[in-house]
Amino acid sequence: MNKLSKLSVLYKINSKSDEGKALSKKYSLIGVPTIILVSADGKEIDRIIGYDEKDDFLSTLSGYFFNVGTLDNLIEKSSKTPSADIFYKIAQKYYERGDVDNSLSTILKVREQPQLSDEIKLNSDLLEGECYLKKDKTKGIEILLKLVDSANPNISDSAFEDLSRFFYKTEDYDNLYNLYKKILPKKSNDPQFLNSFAWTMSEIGKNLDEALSSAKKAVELSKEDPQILDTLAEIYYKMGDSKSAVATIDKAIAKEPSDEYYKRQKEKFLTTKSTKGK
Amino acid sequence: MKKISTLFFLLFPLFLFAESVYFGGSLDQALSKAKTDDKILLMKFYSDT
Repeated sequence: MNKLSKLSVLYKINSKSDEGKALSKKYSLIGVPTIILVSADGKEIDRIIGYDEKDDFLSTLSGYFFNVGTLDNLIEKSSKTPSADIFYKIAQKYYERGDVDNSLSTILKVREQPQLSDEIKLNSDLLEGECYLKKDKTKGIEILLKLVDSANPNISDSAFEDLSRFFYKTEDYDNLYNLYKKILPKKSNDPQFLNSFAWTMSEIGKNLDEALSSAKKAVELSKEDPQILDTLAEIYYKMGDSKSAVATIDKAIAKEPSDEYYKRQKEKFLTTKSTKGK
Repeated sequence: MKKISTLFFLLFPLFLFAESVYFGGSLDQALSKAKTDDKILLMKFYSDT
């Protein structure tokens, strides 16, 4: 038994199971993996969504065991030494718990602080847009669309990711396509972005001619990155051109012969008829 | 392009949980156990897809 088991009772939940679905709703889960620390009286101490670097993860987790950096801890700190940074962190934690009303009211406190850096201001604007996507989608979309045009690339990329995920999830494919088209001119030489556009269009089965052009360009720019070759192959397949799909996935397999996913893709191209004209 | 969630999951801190012992009962039982042992309940949500 390792140290983690000595400090806590570990309980794992498959988010796809019936129990997992109910608990995901109860705890307003944003995504997996997520770790939620709960005190013996059933109150949430804090949560860690996803994973960054090993050292950062361990530092955050061990801090939470001793109530350092938790929501309660930050609220206590903010009453003694209020700052934009602390209020922003609190707003973010409320958002992660699905409490958008408290997040939005805390964002107002961020903006009231005298020393408000551009970075905190922009991140608060982003968080406000994310909150409104859950509360008032028209307002959320409006805020995030403005941030997509931000000169700050981190903010612009995050706003784009939030919106594209939202449009995809809500099956608002026209707005999803328009969003990509808005960004494409400034990312026209970014193979990852071109690949993302191409893959997304292939997933929704729309604008496949444009997806094909983007995937071809992305393959060229990336010097035949296997993942992008896979996107191109998938588009050929969706367009009913199984011969080109197989020839393209063969290039990916040649680059990464041990990858089972690419082999399964080839099998699919060889044995399954695509839904051409979907 | 593979699903992003799959790649993301690969980055999860397996090093930390690899040797851990998970509670085998229900969530209520796990919470009760945490209370008895004066420990924190650590719920790990994952996806098998």
